[in-house]
Amino acid sequence: MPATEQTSWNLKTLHVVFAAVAVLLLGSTVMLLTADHNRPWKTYAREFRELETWTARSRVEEQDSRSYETRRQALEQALIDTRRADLDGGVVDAFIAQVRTVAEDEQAADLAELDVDRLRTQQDPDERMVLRGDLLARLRDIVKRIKFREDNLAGSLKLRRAELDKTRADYELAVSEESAADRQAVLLGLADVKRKEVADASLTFQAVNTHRKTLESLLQKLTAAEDTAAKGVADHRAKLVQLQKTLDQRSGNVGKSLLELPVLDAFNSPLRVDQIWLPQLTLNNNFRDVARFDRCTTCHRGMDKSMPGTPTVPGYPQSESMTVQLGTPAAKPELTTVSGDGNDQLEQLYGLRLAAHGLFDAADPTISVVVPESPAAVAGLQIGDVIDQVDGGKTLARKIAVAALVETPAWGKPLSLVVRRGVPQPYSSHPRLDLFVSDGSPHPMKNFGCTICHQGQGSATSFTWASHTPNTPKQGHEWHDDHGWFNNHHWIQPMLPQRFEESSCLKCHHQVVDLEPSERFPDPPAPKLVEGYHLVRQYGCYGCHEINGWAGPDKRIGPDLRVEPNFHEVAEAVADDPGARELGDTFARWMSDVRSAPDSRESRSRLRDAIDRDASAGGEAKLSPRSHQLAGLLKDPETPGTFPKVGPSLRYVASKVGFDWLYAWMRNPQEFRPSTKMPRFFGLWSHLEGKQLEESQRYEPVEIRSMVHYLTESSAAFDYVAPFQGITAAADAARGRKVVQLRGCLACHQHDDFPEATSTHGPNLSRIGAKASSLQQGKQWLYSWLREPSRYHPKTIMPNVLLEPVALADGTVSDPAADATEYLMGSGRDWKPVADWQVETLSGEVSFPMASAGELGEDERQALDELALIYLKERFTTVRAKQVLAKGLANVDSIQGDERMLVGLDGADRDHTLLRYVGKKTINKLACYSCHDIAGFEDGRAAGAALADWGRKDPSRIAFEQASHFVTHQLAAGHGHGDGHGVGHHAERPAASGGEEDSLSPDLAYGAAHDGAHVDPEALDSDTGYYLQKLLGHEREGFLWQKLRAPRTYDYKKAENKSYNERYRMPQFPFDAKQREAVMTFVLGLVAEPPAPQYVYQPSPREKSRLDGLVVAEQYNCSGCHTMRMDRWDIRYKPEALGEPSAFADYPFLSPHFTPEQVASSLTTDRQGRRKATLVGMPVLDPQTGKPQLVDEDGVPIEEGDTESVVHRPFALWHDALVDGEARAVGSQNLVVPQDAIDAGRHYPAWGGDLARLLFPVVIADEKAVNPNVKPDDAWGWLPPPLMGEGKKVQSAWLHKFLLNPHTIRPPAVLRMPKFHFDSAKAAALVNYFAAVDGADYPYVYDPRLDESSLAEAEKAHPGHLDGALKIVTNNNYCVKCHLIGDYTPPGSVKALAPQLQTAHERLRPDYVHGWIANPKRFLPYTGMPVNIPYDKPVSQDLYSGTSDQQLDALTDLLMHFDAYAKKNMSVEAFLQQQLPPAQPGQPAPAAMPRAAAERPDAEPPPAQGGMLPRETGPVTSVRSPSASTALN
Amino acid sequence: MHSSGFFLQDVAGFLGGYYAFVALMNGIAALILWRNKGQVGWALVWTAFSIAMMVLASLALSASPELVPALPASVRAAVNRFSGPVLYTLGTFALLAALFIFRKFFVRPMVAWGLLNGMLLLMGLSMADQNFASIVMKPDNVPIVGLVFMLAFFTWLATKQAVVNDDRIARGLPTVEKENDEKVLVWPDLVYTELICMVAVSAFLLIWAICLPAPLEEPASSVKTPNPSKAPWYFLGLQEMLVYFDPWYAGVVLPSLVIFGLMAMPYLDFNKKGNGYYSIEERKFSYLTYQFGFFLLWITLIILGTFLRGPNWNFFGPFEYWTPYKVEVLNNVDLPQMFWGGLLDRPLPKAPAGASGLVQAATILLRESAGLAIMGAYLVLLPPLMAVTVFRGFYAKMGFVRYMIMANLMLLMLTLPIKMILRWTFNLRYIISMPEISLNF
Repeated sequence: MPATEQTSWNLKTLHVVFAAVAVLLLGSTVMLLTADHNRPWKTYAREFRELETWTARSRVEEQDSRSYETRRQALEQALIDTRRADLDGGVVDAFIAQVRTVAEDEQAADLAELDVDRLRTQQDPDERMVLRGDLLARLRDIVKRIKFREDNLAGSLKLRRAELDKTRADYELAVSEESAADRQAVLLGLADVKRKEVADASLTFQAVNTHRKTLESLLQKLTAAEDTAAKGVADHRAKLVQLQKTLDQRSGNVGKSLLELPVLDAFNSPLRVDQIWLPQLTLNNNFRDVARFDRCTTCHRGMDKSMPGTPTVPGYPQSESMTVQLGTPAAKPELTTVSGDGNDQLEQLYGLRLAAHGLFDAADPTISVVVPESPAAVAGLQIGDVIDQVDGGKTLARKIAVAALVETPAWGKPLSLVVRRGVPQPYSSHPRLDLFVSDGSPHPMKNFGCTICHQGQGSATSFTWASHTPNTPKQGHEWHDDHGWFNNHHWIQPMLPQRFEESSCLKCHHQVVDLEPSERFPDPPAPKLVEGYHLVRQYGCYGCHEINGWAGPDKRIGPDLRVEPNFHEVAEAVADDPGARELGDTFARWMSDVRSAPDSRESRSRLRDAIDRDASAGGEAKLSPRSHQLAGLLKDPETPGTFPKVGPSLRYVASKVGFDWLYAWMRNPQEFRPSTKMPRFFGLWSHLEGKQLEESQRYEPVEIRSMVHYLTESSAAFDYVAPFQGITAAADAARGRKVVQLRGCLACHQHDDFPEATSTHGPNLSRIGAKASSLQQGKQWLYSWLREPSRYHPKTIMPNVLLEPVALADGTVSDPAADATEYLMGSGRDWKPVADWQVETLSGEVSFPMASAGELGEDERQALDELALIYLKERFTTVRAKQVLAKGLANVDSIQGDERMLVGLDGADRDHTLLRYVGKKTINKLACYSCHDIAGFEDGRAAGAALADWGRKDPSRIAFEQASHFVTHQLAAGHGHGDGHGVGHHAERPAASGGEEDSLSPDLAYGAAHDGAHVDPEALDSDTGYYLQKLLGHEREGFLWQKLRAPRTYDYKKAENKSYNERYRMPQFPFDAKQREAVMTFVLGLVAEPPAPQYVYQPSPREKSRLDGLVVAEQYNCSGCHTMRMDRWDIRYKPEALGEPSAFADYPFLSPHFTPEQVASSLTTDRQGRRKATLVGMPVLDPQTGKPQLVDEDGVPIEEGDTESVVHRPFALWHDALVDGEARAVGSQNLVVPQDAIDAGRHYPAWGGDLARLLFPVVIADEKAVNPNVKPDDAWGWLPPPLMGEGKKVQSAWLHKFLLNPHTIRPPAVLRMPKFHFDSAKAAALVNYFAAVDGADYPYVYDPRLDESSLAEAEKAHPGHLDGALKIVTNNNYCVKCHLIGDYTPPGSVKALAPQLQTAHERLRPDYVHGWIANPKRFLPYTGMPVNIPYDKPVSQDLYSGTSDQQLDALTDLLMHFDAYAKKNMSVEAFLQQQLPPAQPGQPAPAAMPRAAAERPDAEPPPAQGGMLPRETGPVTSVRSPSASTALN
Repeated sequence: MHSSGFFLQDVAGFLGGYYAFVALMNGIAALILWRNKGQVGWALVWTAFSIAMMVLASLALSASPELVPALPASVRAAVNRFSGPVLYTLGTFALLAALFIFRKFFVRPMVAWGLLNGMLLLMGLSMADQNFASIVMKPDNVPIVGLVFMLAFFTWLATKQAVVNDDRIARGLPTVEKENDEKVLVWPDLVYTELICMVAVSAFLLIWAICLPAPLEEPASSVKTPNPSKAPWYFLGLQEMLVYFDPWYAGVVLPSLVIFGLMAMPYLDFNKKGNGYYSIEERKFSYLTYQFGFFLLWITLIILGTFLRGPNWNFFGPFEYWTPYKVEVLNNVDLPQMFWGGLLDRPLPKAPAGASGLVQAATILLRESAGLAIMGAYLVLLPPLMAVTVFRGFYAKMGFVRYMIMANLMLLMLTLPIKMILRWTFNLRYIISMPEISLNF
């Protein structure tokens, strides 16, 4: 067909279509640009810019307020006033005279004189001011002219010098070129000429220079006042100018808006994506670690902003609502109708102004100006606060707020304002700028970014893709609605929800204790995580779940919580081997060494070698194969674990408790002791019904029985501690009660008789009697335990409290341990195991009866057989298993393992053999050995999943089973909101709608509901809802939650398909919801992803010592008795509210030291008119109640019910404080702090010392019975001392020895430092801790004062140096009045005795002794020791001639060399004979052989009870004074 | 009802628009039918349908679990319960057979329109199910949904052309193509329309990219394979074959044969008819073979792989949640085991330890004798047999070489359905299983 002009398509239509698609393409291109341009972060950036501008403007306005103007006017007036003042005629004359000294300036001087004359004659003040100004201008002119001249001269001098240099160089060149001598001479001559010229020019210049300087200083003198005033004006303006500049920078302008236009914004737009590039802090992308880019601050722009002038206070705190009380004028002011915008009135009335429009909502009444110290400032209002309510009335608009504040208040009464402070996300600042983000913090933003802690997708610039994680289902829903949030599974590190944000700390802080509050960071940095860590430690989670912090000997990956090696258990097991006895005494000694000190390597390796040798002897071997096998455990592990098993040893359990108790305890530990940390293994049936329930019901009692059987049968014989000889008093419960109360038990234990003791470090003793009496020898065991805990369990943390016989008032001698045993045996005797324990199950409650110790019942025997068969089937074929069960094993040689126990099962002992077998198997199944030392399980392995990287465990590898269904149904049935684990009535499982698979998907969890789910997470409380959502979504958090809450419920609908032994075994721990979350925070933080080494926390050596010591201190509960850190009060007080400091002449070296900056900052008053001070010390306690004392402003205690007085709290300082710019020294006086100053500040509670506080009123009351005039402060001296400053006080070597083997220091103390069973390394850790905390030197210290040579020098400078000092010491007005010295004990009550001085040189550091003698109260505010050598009043020159300082030195030297000195010189007794009056009755007669005592410096100090028992004669027979036992009566 | 919360909130807007679109589409169709075609009856039908769709749209927009239109749970449960690979494969075969047999009925515009609407409605109702939606709306899968509709449309279009032509040929008229065999101008008829298409497609791609951003998943990890791990969509047919064959066959031999077969096609084709125009009647063998190979053995397997194969490559019903915990029995046995163990009740022949290579090879051959015999019969005996029976005409026209190539290609293509059926019926894993030389068939 020929071509035609006819087109197939209608061209017009095509044009139309083309136009349409072209428009479409254009549209889509525009859409593309719009989508790119309108990214959400830009909105935030703009909004934040608004916020910054607004704030800057407010600050400008505040600066620019009326008060500012007033001040400016005053300053300017002051300037004018100085200008009107007369000039000092003398100075002017001197000036002119000085000018005249130079001829060139004569004329100027004349002119100036003319001006002076004119000024003198002028009377009109204004004219005078002008003339004065002229005169000054002329004088300045003169100086300027002279300066000009001087500069010229300086220039020409420089020129001359250059010429001189050249001629000199020419000459030297000529010399080196060996030019002709005449030429050299010429050049030298030339140089001389030049030198002369330079000298002349110099002289001229110096003359002019001096002239000018003199004139200048005179001129300065003339204008000094004026200059100061002018500077004041300038300074006043400077701040405003600075603020104005900031405002200008922040506010937008045309240029900026132009740059933000689409497309143009590609070129240097002011709105930019902010990013932090962290090349070292990589992100793990599996195949490659990539640099981290954190763009979070693109939206969170205010993150690093702090309040001006305070680097750690958030500049834009997160929004919160608060109520403040705004004071109103007492009387109705004149003008109460609003005029204009009302700001003038507001400023007059309250000192505040409201912005024209609000920040995030234009209608918000927003405070823009707060005048310092105005009522608004005092009320605590701040710029940016939005007033929501005034006296309950809503103020939705500015107008309403103004009216409410100005027109209608009840005058004279404070207005209650509800204000909204802070800004919403994403604008707010980081709440902990002291720890994070800010440049001064340990984690500056530029080095750490955001996502290393928070996780999430740092490179994202939109809300959704940043992987924010909601903290509650409701928040998730809101985010979804507001931001289109969804749960993005593809980002495998989503942000941590708020509740777990502390988890990340573990990445770098492997020791965890470094996250506890410290001096530097008193606000707990990570309280929840630390709590979790301690729970894991206390409950011993690491027993079953290894938490290995090492991925190799040198690679630390996280916290390391592992059980320490079982050396001592192995030693015990070997000792139990009959063959061990044949190996001789040396072998026995090695065994006992390893048992009592497992960390000593020497004995251990020898023991191991010996066992190995025995093993290689083959048929000759004496030891059992088991012992040979265990020898391997004695090896030195590469990085041994350091944490002990948390439970008590069960190796001798048969000597401790009886069947009934043990059975009841295993059945449900909480039944006996509700506060126990032992988890529950049995009766966890809330998820069971039908056949599975029946199985559990039948088997579990038999399992318990068999375990009891095994434990009792395998228990070794225990060697009870024998009572003391010579005890004449019968054991008495009343005395025992006192022993328990006073001798330190309550530092760790609780007892119902002492409800005020709350420590949970040790078990609650309220029912200990019932436990001990479950066995005939229970009492004997308890006595042994009290006397010597390590005999029962060498690794126990229970210390030996060193209970020794005490002489009673009636002359008999009692045994405190026996008394305490008597008392404790009576505790909780009425407790009986519940006969029929009702356990919750899916089909209602069923009973778990108590078993009786006798023979097995028929049902039990049947169940035992079945259980045994289950175990046997795991080992043998079914047929063989049945055979073995029926007849036992004939020949065990070919059999390994526990089945060897089944020899001769057809005998009479069948039940016992089977019980033993099943018992061992059950213990193995339940991994009891993870917490307890059990014979036969020395080589037990961790039974649970390792947790070192659990926080990253892939959820697809976690068995969620049907737990979510259990929980949903439990919740649907109205259970489980609390901690309860059970379901009372099983709600009929609602049929899945439409028979559809009851499926769960991660998405569905966030979709709130799905087919078959009956509970909407949003409808629950936010915590349960959160976790349920996580459980439904198969996320780690949800799994962990239910695992900790009710671990066995993972068997729900699963047990049906499992054999009995395959069921889950994890016990249920008695955690409450808060504890659970804390543990989860810890576990989720275990990710084994340490960042690059430079980011991992590396403490300084000193800090490391502190942390290592902290771990030990926590383990052994040092803080139970001792205050390790005092209360700290950061108070904000009104000036002068804390009274005047007391004046006291003291040694200069003791005076508090503060820098001028500190003093200045102490004097600054904040907007509320308050000053800040930090007080460290302890609140004064009421001697009757032991509660903190409340007094009125005069220091008089406030009676109960007195509501009139203004509450103050007296406070004893332990650190020097600065109040009102003046130092308040420790020990000078108690501060009486008004309650409002405390409330306005912060309180950081003390750490430790609970027992001391608890016993404080008790010992006072006891002493009052003897001595009615007792001083409350003295009581502190009888209690465990606070260990503040311990490092500076004692010598490290002494402390180390003391910790390992404590002795009595202070005779009057009611309890002794107990003896802990720790090794030298742990003691060293503690010693280093104290030194590190106090900044003292350690571990080795050299002090020249301890050198003999320094002593010789002192003696040379002052003959009789030490002799004089000894005179003071032995003068009965001084030291010997209270202190024991050598063999001498001062007379009087034991309560007045002070520590032995003879050994002070070993114990104390010289500097401390020196300071202590100078003023003891400066170191120990409560001490009864007086200032013996006042600074201004030396001790009698008869004793020692010299100044106070010299006497002080002499005393210190004597004490620090007492040992050597005593050896050399003297007999104390001889001195005393001279000084003391003849001995009185009731006082000790001087010992017969003083010399001998003095010559025995190595003699131990007298033993415990106040040094009353001479050591030569045993502890009992020679009790000297009835008063010795007052402490215990 | 079944779904609520976030999911319904999110999907409601889409469903509202979707139903409104269907309504609009039917409204326009009704208008065209009424104004241009004068089919008032049909116009009324589609108007009514359009109104119904508007109602559904408003219900969907409510986002309330009670109101959003969805398939009854029982229906969904039944679909899930009954669906499986057997039913799916046989079902698609039956469906294609029905479409072929009743093609004259299906090509009627109103029937097709009705089917389209039915598909759209079914899709909309299914979308209210979260499990269905989460698979279908996955950004990677959206193109496959498009592919289903496009394929249906173009197949329908081609079939319609063919039916019209066949009808005309039967009546002795020239084909449509012949009748409209006019030359058109390069400009504007070709280039201009191409330009328009280019612009339109660009705009479409831009909008698509903005509205449906490319999906990104987590970084790959050597310790964690995604479950399900799927090949790119165009290879999902191959992946499905892996269920039935050894990788070397399903992954190497069969795809090569496909390519080889496609290349060989022009040389094998002896039928001169059907050139340049659509026709089914004149090329039934080619048409059916191609449709069978393309639709059944490729496209439907892609769809199966995309939408119905979930974690662990298990089959999931369209409304079933893809739980990784689903377990299926996979106790498949090899033919030698069936033969020796089942039929002869003897252990598999095994070469004695230390036997020479030759003995070992002989033993293996003995062990696999049954499979080898069957395969030999299938590939060697069957073609001549067919040549003298069903393909007698073909053999005559094609000659020996061409015929043998055609017959073997076809037989190899048929191994897939045969193997599928054997798997389903006898749990047969491999006919020949020689792991010693990595050869399984």
